[in-house]
Amino acid sequence: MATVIRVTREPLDRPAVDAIVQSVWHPGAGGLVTFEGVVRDHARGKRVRYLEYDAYPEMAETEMAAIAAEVERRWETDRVAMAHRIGRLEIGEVSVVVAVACAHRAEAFEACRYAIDTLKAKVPIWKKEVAEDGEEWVEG
Amino acid sequence: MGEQESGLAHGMHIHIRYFAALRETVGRADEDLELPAAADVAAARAALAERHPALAPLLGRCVAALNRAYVAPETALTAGDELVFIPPLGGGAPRDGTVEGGAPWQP
Repeated sequence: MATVIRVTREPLDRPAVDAIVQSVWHPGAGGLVTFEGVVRDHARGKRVRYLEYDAYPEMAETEMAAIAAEVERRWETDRVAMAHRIGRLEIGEVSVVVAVACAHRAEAFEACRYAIDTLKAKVPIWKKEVAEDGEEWVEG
Repeated sequence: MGEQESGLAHGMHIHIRYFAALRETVGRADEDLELPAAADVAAARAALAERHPALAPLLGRCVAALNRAYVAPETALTAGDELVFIPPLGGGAPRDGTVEGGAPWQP
């Protein structure tokens, strides 16, 4: 079972991220990899003011749990955590956190990379870029 | 199955929810849709495009989620289903081949 699966409007600030990372630690873990997605101030030549994230929350959490279960099976860990923030996010704020603990670093890096890439492709969460010259829902 | 006694011999109601660009285009978060009893996901998509012409171009680029799971257009609907058309995801740029099966909205 994943330790954290969460779609939230609360900030993913340092204490929140630290708690998510702590949740995956276990005595057999030798490698602990965390990915944090952060709001960037530019996209495709535009200056971004802020982002608005929207989610289909019930399905998003179901899909995140399915990804975590897949990671746990393939990389033989039961320590995966995924949290995604929605609502308005300012430049520099954390939008998504994935943390994975494995016995060794190689599988921890692989598992974390697989988890965030799959989350981005399959979990129904969208972002609207609000730039200085307009706004648009961004597609993959 | 199991709908014979529902009194909806001529049609059924399903629940549509809208998110992101679809919600802003339609101007609401959800609505009910009446369809013929044997309708599938593709029929629901066509009915919504007719009801909301501004939605049609966007619907063409969506995949469908039925009761919170991705489904194919030919999937049959049942009264009371929750159907959501999922606009393209904000995906970023995954490493090629990392995500098995590719993005779900790609055929």
